[in-house]
Amino acid sequence: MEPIDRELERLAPALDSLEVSEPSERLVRHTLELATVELRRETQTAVQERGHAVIPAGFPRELARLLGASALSIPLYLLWNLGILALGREILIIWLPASFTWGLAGAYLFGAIGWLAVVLGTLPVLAHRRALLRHNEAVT
Amino acid sequence: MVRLQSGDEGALATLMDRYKGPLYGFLNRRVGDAAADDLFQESWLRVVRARDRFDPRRRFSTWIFQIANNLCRDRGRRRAVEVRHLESLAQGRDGGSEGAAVPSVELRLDMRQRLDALPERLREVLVLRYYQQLPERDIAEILAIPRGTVKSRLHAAVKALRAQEGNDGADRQGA
Repeated sequence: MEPIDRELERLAPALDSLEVSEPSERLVRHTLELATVELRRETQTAVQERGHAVIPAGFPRELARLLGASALSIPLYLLWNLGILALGREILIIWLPASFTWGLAGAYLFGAIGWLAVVLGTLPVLAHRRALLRHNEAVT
Repeated sequence: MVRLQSGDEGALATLMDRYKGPLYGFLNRRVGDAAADDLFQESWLRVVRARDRFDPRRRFSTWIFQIANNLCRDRGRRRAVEVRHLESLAQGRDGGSEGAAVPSVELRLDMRQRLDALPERLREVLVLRYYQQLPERDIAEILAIPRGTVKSRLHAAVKALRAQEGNDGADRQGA
């Protein structure tokens, strides 16, 4: 124990006589209301100022929801396209040279994957938009 | 605090629930009952407004006490200006009578008055050290002063309190 702590201990009876109460429930509730309003206002202003650079609250939840929904349809999409590829090549090979049908199948596959990338790539944008809308609804 | 920085209102409620007692106690001892309520509200509003400037490597408790202490200092400065203004008005009315109103030196001081009688720079160190139980390192960070200065101010505060105790005892004997 340092000398200053001993000194404070000696003064403790006097110092401890200064009792303070907890803040009243009303004060805490009122402060929380004021601070929450301020927080909403600040968040909204920040979002407006920074535009889409800000990730709004609830964005991960929205993204997970959209990914979940798309996860169900992706296997169907892939199966459908693989079916078209297999069947289409069998039909086309009757009239076209085999090497040419491989080229067509490759191009089709490239296009299908491209579409998948576009759809998946828009999910974060959609999630951001939805989260922003939800936030604005909550604020107003 | 990181959650609050991203605008999470639940995080604000959690922080307030955790720190309302220590913060209110600190403010009450620094400025008294009447002003503590206002400064309590203002402290939380400042927390919200300045949340983007909070460094997550720091402790939240240190940061909020720093905010609260700055508010106490601002209030002290404003009050000093008001008191000077009122004194100058009173002097003008009384024809400049000197040494008229040094208030209640003879009154027996309770702890609140004794704390209020301490210079602000000593009072803030004492409240943070004794009542908030903060280590010198944190106090130095909150007040933005070297640790050595914290120590010397704490010694000065204790000395001043002991001197008050002596005066108080002498007053009682005299009465």
